[in-house]
Amino acid sequence: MKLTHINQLQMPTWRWLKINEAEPVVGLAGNYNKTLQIQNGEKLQIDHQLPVIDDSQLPKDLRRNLVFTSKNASVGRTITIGENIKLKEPVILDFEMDDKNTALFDLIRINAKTGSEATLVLRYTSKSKRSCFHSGFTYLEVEAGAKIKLIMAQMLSPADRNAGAVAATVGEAAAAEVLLGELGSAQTTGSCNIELEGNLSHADLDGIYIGTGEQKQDFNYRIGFHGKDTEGNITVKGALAGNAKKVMKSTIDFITGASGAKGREEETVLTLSDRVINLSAPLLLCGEDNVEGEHATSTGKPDEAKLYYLMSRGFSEKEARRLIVEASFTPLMRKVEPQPLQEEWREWIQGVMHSDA
Amino acid sequence: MERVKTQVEDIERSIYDITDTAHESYQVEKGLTEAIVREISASKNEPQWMLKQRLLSLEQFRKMKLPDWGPSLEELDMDQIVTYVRPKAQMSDDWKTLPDDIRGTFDRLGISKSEQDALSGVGAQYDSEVVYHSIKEYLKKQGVIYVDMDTAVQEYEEIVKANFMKLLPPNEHKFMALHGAVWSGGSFVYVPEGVEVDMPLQSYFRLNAPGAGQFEHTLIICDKGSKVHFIEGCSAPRYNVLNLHAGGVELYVREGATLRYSTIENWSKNMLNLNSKRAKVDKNGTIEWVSGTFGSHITMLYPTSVLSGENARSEYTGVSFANEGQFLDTGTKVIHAAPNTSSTISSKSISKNGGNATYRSAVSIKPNAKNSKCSVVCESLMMDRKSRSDTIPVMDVRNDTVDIGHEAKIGRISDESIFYLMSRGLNEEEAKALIVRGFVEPVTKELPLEYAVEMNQLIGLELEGTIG
Repeated sequence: MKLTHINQLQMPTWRWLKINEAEPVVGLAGNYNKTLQIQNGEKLQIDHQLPVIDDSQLPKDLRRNLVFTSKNASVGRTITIGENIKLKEPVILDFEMDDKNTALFDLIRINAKTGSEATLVLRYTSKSKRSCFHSGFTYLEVEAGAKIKLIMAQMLSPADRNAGAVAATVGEAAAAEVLLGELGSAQTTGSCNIELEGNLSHADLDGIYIGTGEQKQDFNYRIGFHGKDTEGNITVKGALAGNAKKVMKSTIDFITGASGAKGREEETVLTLSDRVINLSAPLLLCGEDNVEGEHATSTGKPDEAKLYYLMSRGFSEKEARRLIVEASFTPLMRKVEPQPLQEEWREWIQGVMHSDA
Repeated sequence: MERVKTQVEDIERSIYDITDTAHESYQVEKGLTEAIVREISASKNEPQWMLKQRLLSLEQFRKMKLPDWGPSLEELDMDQIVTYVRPKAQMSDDWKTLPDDIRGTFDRLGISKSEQDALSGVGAQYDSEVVYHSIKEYLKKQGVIYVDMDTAVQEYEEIVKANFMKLLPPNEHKFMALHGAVWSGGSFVYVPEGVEVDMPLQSYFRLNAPGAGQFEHTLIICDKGSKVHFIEGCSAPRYNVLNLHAGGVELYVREGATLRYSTIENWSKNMLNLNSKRAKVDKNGTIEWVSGTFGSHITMLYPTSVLSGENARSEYTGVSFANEGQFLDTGTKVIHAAPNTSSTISSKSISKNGGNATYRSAVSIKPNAKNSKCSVVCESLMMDRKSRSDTIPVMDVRNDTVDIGHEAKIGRISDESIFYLMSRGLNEEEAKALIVRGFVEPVTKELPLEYAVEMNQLIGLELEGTIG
């Protein structure tokens, strides 16, 4: 059971950089027989059949994620948020692997009807002494005027493997906010593809990752701009310690006709060990003249002046570094909801920093 | 209000498109075979090691596939390319001895005039062979060597043997292998320790024969503490068959030396320009690449800096102008392989009328390259929606004491910039012209005045109406 040729760079480059696609993900045998718990889902229409997803508009590599997850699916849901339904409380889908449920394949389709508003959280954890495996595919359709926030919280154990994919389409004057927290697992491939199809549609694709020990992470984020006057931002904050290896591919893709589109991508990486491997490929692809696109990437260790200042205020070096990493994550952490999940992430990051940084 | 596009004129090519009546004195058969490679080597009376190197390269070429990234090279049919064309001229250091039409070509291109006014030495290649080479006498006396590569192989064999194709290993990619197999012409430069060459050296490459390839090799060694500026120019008339350029440039920048390597490339639009350039920079050395890419049908060109000594430095400043039918895939690679190394990359591109400009780069910071710094800025101007502009940078960082910044922007000329300049008293046309000139200025300012003027002439700008 192997997932290959995924997380492909939309426009490949030199092979020697080994960045054109992710290393194959080898699945682990097992099953997942738990009933999916959905909190605050009372107003939703939930179909328990395996969703059928039109993959014709998906990038090739993402189709592989879809096929792999579908074939082995242990959980499938279609969640419909009705027209003009506005949910105040986040809807939480909790996936927890344990000794008896070590391989989770979940295929979730979220259909946000016109004018609806909701926050959905997909939380993945494992409490097993054995290595667990997760492959997930989340398909988000945001129809005209809808506003959806999707938070993916990947907090698997250090021995687990993870392959998660999100695909979203955003309709006219609709907005999608996708926040991906890639905090755990030994090997992670994560991808997110958002197509801004409707005029005046908007997307924020945010990512937080922390890599420690021998962790390997490969991320592929993309926003495709189709509609006029669309706006999309990719913002990623990361910290790498120990022997971690991370590959971040992010793409802003202005399709011909996306007049008036604005796109921005930014990655900030703090490196906390001289053994980390940190690859970034921020692509800016453009087939339309009336656009504004920009990207910025910065990589480096924590600022010496900040470290010195904090240490002069009584913090140890380790504490000071932890505070700097936390501060770097803060703008994105503030978007995490509900509050207990935000606290959980904060504690997770503190724990990782305490043990490895 | 009707929106009128900003207009950027096509490059004026009439001078470059004049074809000469001079026919070759000799050329090999079309295609690439071992017999042809042996024939080229034998015609140059090369030592055995060079023939062996050519044959090894040929073997590599056959084994390797076309790149599976970048623009498609499927239209290249090596069976239709003539890899060696000897012009009807003997190498000379006197323009007067060259046949009239060959001399006329270089006169029209301004090479002989530039030699008098602003250059320390000139090499002029016509098809596969260098037909003119000279250097100022006072530089010769200081030990500066500037000769064609064939002469270098004969007269400086040990130096050439020790350095030739060492930075461009034939097993790296198909066109390095091709170059290694059929290279011909080019220049060899040696600047002795501590010598600073005050005016630039220039080599000009002219490909006149239709369906031919040009594979010149440039080998420059800047010894400790030396300094030189080398300028490379290229052009060819347009034919309705593909021409191929797969040159090779190897630059050795020894301790404390500085080498500026400037290229103004204006190949015709039937040219596949698949050049390989690499510099190895030792301790405290500096390589400066200045690159203007205007011509060719397809260009794949990424000058590479290997910063192998402590405090070594590289600068890359590039501009490309992609018009109808052009796919210009350009950029740079920098390998930081020693502590305290630094690099800056500044790239500008303009895409117009269906042209495709791609900026591609790789910055690799090795584990031992502690305290290294790299700054990348790339900007692209899109003149219409028929065109494309893509930015494909990769950074591979393998230690935690680095400082890397990367910024890129894409779009058209902003209304705000126009309004700002108009509020300072410029009229709209002046404002637009100033912005576009300013856009390419980082490259022009790095060139000697004569070449900056030439480049500005290459980009004739005509701006009318509102920006839209």
